[in-house]
This record gives sequence, C-alpha cells and structure tokens, in this order.
Amino acid sequence: MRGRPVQWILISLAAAFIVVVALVLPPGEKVHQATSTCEIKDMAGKVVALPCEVHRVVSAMYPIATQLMILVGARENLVGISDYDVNAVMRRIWPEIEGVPRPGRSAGGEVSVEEILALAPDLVFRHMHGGSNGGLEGLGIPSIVLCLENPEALMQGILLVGEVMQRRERAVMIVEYYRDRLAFIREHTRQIEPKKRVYFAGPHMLSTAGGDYYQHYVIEYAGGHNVAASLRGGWCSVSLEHLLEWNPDFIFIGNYGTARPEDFLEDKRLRDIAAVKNGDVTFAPYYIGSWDVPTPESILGIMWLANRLYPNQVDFDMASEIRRFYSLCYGYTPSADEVREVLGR
Amino acid sequence: MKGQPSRTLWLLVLLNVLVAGLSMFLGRYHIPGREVLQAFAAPLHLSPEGVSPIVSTVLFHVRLPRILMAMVVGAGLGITGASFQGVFRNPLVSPYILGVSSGGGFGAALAILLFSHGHMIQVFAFVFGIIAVGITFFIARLGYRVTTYTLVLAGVVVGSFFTALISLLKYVADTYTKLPAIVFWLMGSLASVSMDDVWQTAPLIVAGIVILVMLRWRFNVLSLGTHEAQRLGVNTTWLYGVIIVCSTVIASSIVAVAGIIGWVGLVVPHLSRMLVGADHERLLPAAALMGSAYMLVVDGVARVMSAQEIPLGIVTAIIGAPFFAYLLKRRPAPQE
Repeated sequence: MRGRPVQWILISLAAAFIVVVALVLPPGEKVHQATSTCEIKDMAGKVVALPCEVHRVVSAMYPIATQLMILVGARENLVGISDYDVNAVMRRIWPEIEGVPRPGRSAGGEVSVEEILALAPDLVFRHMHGGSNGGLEGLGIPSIVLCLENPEALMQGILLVGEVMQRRERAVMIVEYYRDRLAFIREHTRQIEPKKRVYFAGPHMLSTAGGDYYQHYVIEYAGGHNVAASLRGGWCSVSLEHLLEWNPDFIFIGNYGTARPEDFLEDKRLRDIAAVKNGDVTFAPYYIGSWDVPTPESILGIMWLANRLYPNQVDFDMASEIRRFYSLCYGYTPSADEVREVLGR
Repeated sequence: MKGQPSRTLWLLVLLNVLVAGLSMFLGRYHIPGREVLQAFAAPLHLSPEGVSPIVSTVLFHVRLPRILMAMVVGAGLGITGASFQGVFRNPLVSPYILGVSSGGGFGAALAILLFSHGHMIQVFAFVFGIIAVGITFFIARLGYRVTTYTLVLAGVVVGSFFTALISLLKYVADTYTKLPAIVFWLMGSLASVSMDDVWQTAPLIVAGIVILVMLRWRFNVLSLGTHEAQRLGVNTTWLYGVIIVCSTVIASSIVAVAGIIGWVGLVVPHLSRMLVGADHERLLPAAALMGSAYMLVVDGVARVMSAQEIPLGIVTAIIGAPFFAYLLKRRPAPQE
C-alpha cells in the first residue's frame, strides 16, 4: 500500500487534532448517580422509572410545569426553563430565575435534544399535545407527561409534581387550599338558576373557548355557564350572530388577544346583549400570567369570576385573597399597589 | 350568437341578486323566513306588523354588511385575477402574484404583535401589501428592463421573503396567546364586518373595479404582446402601470379587511372564461360578477356548515383546489 505522503500527513494531523481536543475538553458534568429507582404513573397513564431523588429538572417543553415546580417549592431544582417563564413579575417574585438556562425552543414547542442532554437532567416534564421530543426517552432521560386541561387535572398535576420532587406535604396543602375555595363557590352557587351565561373572548373578539378548553372550566367552576360549551376544538371562531343568539350576561376577555371591552360596548349591533346593556364586559385579570389559562393562578381567576357573576352569594375579598395566594404558593406578597393594579384592569 | 355573452352577464347579475337574497336567510341567529320578508317590507310600509329590533340588527347590521363585503371582495378578487392573467399572459397567475398577500399578512401579524388592538391591523395590512408590491417593482427594475417575466419572478421572491417574515413573527409570537390571533387573521374571515367597514373599504375597491372595467378593451391589445401593442399606438408602460396599481390597491384593501382568501382570484377567471370566452371586454365584468356570487356562496358555507365559523381561506381552498382541477380536465387541448 503506497499512500502519498501528503495524505499521511493530513491523516496524522487529524488524528493528533482529535486527541488534543479529547484531552482539552473538560469531562462531561457528572450525572447524579441515582442510588435507587422509583416508578410513578404520569398523566398519560404511563409508568415512568426515575430516580427516587430528582435533582435536575427541565420544564422547557411545558412552561406550566415551571410554575408547578415553583409551587411545590422545588424551584432550586430547575435547570432548564422556557422563555415564557421569565417576565417582569416573575423576576420580582424570584430574581434568580434569570440565571436558569433556557434551551432553545422551536415554534412547535420542540426543544433541542442536544441542549437538553447538555443540562444533564434527571427528569423532563412534557405536555400531552406539545412537542413530542420523543427522542429523550430513548436517550435514557425519564420524562413525565402532564395534562392540565381542567382545574381537577391541575390539582392532580400539583400532587404528581409534589410526589416526584418529594414535596408531597406542600403539594397536598396547596391542593387543599384549592379545594376549599372551589367548595365554597360550589356551595354558594349550587342553588342558583338560571346560571349566568358567560362569553369568553380569546385571541380575538369572535374567538371563544369551546367546551374542551380551560376557560370553559374556569367559567363552569365559577358557577357560570359557558355559552360556547357545545363547541369543541380549542379556540372556536364564531360570528356576531352567535353572540346575539347566546345573549351572554357577562363577557370577559383574555389579556392576550386583540379584543377590548370597547369593541363590545361600542358596537351598536351588540347593544341588546345583556352584558353590553349592563356594562359587564371586562378584561380577565392577570399577574404572572393570565388567570384564565391552565396555571396555578387560575384559582384566582375562578374566584374573581364567581365574585363578578354572583356578588350577592360569593364575596371573596380579592385583595387579601391575592396576597394570600401568592405568599402561600410563590412565597411572595404583592404590594398594595400591585394588587390594586391587578384588580383595576 | 352575438347577443349571447351580454345576456350571460345579465344572468350573472340576476344570480348575484338571488344568492345575496338567499344569504339574508342564512345565519346562526334563527329568524323565520316570514320575518325576514317582513323586515324587508317594513321600510316600504307594506307590512302592518313591526319587526323586533334584534331581528333588524341581525339582518341589516350583521348579515347585510357581510353580504355586501363578500360581494365586493369576491368581485375584486375575480377581476384582479382576470386582469393579472391577461397582463402577464399566464393562466396560473393570481392577484397575489406580486406579493400583496404575504406583505399584507406580514403587516397584520406585525400589528397584532405590536399593538394587539384596533384598526392598526387593517392599516398595517394595507400599507405592507402596497410596500411588498413596491419592492417587487424595485427588484424587477434591477434587470435592465421591467418585463412581465421579471415582475412575476420578483413577485415570487418578495412573496417568499414576506412569507418567511410571517413565519419568523409566528415563531417569535407567544404560542399560547398571540399566535392564535395571527393564525386566525391569516386564514381570512368576514365574520365581524360592520357597515362602517363597508363604507371605509368598499369605495376604494369599487373604484378600482370600475377603472379596470373601463380599460377592458385595452386588455385585448395587451394580450397581443408588448411589441404588437406598441405598434398599435398603445402606451403599454402607462397601461401596465394603471392596471397593476388598481389591482394592487384592490387586493391590498381586500387583504386588509378580510385576510388572505386564496384561490378565488385563480378559479373565478377560469370559470368566467368558460362562460364568456377570452375576450376581456366581457371577461372582466364576468369575472367581477362571478367572483361576487362565488364569494357569497363560500361565505354562506362558512356560516352554515358547522356550529362554528370556518375561516374563509380554508373554504375557498377546499372548494377551489378540486374545482380548479376539474376545470383543467375540462379545458380543451391548447390550440397553439
């Protein structure tokens, strides 16, 4: 075999380069050696084997999981979150969140598998319908699917995250707080007939939550009736004629869409709708995030809505409830100004 | 034989009146047919019974503006489609070929991200639609001469570029909140059109349509080719300019008020050509009338077919694409 000298020189250089790189690169971060493995059933019904002691958690694929981690008191274990988790309010509540890595995320919710591997997680949280990132399991990283599409499921999710993170007692305490408030509303609105009819405007004025979306449950848990309950498929487009036929008593609007209360109140075509006649058209409150989406804060959204729908039967003192909720769940008490701002919107 | 095509035009007018009338009966809010008729009779004092305010709101402030806007939008898309197919001498060209829809879509998405509320969405959609076509011209001029060929290519380039920008905005937009608003907007809808919208947008579109219809004889000269047309003493640069400006203003206004409604501008000219032939003198008015009726039917389907509103862009594509395939099948073998 007569190789040309140039070839041999190139091959030796390449080999030398690889050796040098291998020597210079720092060894990969030591993954915590789990002493024992536990099994737990996730919300997709799958039994997941994971270390009994979980230290490094990535929630980047499902931002709500970040909130649940904070809620159960395991925020120090977050090693990968998403951009959606960090905003001005969150920085006030937990300034250190700025230092938690945020792996790149595609529009579909998929996170780069390599970036996640680099974070050396013991566990990742995933969303049932979000990006699959199915490859993670094959790489030996346990993943737990959360499905939080109604308040009951949200509470199950809190308990599950609490269990996994060994914060069971705290999770149970928070869920008890939820159950207590929900029971109060149910107790005081059960007898009311007919229920107040509620319309929720999502991404735009004529886009509403069907019976399978979280906002539907917010309305129903608050003792109201979602006028769009029979529709299915997440955000549903409707027409002005739907609104006229439904004739809702109360209209509230997600703070993230293009609609404003004025759009309803000043539209002459809608002037005969009960909510417009009574001026009961308003933005849904928000603090860390919106109170109408599947986050821990939605309990406040349910309480706020019940207050607005049935002022004679339900009388939460929202200002003190807000302070209580955030101090209990997030270890942070909003200032009087902040509370005023949230409720004034 | 000579009178037949103009009779076809009158039949199309009649068709429009019929479909528009029928559309007044269709909708989510249930109004018995008798009441609809009463509501129409009321202003004429033909009927002794009054009509409830809610019924008259639904009929005259919800359905009527929607019907009028559907007609104007359909007519605009039909005639700009036919004009562009004539000007570019290419049957696959649609009103969006110069980048209006991608530019307009980008403008709307940008406005949704920046302001989230109000009329800025329509203003941005309109302005960026025009800007996109402006850029198309600029790129086409980079070659030594603007030809219909370089224009179409530049339009494809600009369209792709703005489509990429739309994707970028969608990527940046919050998945849970802003993204659905952008997606809905891009799919097109007439669900919230009010009489004010009609007054604000329709005059501009109608003016554009009227100018194009007035120019209809000159289209035939253009279809002979630029050189032939110039030899016949037609100032082709000026003519192209007027046609493209009118079509762009029409298409931009449509995108601003109704979102991106595809396929209508492609299918309707072909359908019209089957009815009245390739002579632009009849083709242009026929495309406008046909487009208007077609859009009324599509919007009717969008309203009635399911419990929710179906975005128009979806309906036009689902009806339009197979229909277009059918037209291709029926097309006689090319003569050339």
